Amino acid sequence: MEENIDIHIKGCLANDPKSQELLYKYCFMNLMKVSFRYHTNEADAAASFNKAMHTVFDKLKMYRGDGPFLGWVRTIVVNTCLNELRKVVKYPVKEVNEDELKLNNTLPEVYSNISEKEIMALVQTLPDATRLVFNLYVMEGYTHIKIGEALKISAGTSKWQLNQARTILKEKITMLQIN
Amino acid sequence: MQNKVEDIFDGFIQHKLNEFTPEVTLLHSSYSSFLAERQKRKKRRFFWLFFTLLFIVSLFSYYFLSVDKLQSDKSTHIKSNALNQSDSIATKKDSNKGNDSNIKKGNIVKNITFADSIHLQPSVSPKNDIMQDRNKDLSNKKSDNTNTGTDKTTNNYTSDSILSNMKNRPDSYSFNKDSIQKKKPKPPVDTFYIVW
Repeated sequence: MEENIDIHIKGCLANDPKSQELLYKYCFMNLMKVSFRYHTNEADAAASFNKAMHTVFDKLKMYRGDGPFLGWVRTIVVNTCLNELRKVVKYPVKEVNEDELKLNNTLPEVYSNISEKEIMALVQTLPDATRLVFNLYVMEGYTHIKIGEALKISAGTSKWQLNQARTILKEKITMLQIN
Repeated sequence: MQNKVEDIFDGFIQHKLNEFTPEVTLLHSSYSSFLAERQKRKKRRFFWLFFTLLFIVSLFSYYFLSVDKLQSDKSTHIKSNALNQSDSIATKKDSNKGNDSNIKKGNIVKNITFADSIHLQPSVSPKNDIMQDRNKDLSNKKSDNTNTGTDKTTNNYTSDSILSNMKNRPDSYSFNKDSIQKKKPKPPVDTFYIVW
């Protein structure tokens, strides 16, 4: 599929339904998980992904082929999810406490037998603002300043949200291990 | 040490989340809803384009119709002016033939005006105004005759008196500019009328 991606893109530009279907499935299998991480349930994730794919098909002419196609689509998916969550999510203004950072020093080797579905479910249980900051920092590689600009919050609040996400995840993973 | 632990934890979560693959059943349902939404969007876009086009066309048609109407109004206006001018020219031609029989024998020559003394606007019908003035003058004169009855020499309008009054006029025409000049103070320079 990856070798034929240019052919499918051309087919989509020519309004070929078969190419559109193949391109949609290719993107779904690779990028649906991105939408899953930002939303708490399947329906919202699928709706957000479909919205992103509408944008992809509408703006396909603008793809110049400079970078990888999946990277371009991934940016669109992330931005669509961000735009949707930005309207809903409220961010409590809190600064990070250095003492809180030292509380959780457990190495993650002990969690190695946990499946990816369980980890995804745990991430989806995080509060909206915490989940958003965690995804942007850990998965998308944003800095705290960039997150602050994207979500219109301070870098300190972003740090606090990230620390909160780590703490909650570690606690829940530990509980899973015990059970 | 703290940062290292955090980085390892983040890497672990990142790895696990990247390995996640969605279910195939979700793919089919998601794709069918995507296609349905795409059809809706296409229809919406078509209607939006159609109504935008309709709006633009109606705007242009309104503009052109209004321009046409203005032009037709102007042309009818010009035609009416041309008609008035041709009438006046024709009457002038008749008057220049030397046929002055209408001056004699009780016919009242009211106004014959030339280019330097004509001050009429084309939108107003000049004949009506002049006719009204003439009727007014006649009625005044008549009333003068009937009311006083003493000074008949001054108000006697016979053909002899008209001829005698016109002796000192160079072309045997009477010029009555006042009634016209009062009504039309700012005339167009090039137009002229001959009004009987």
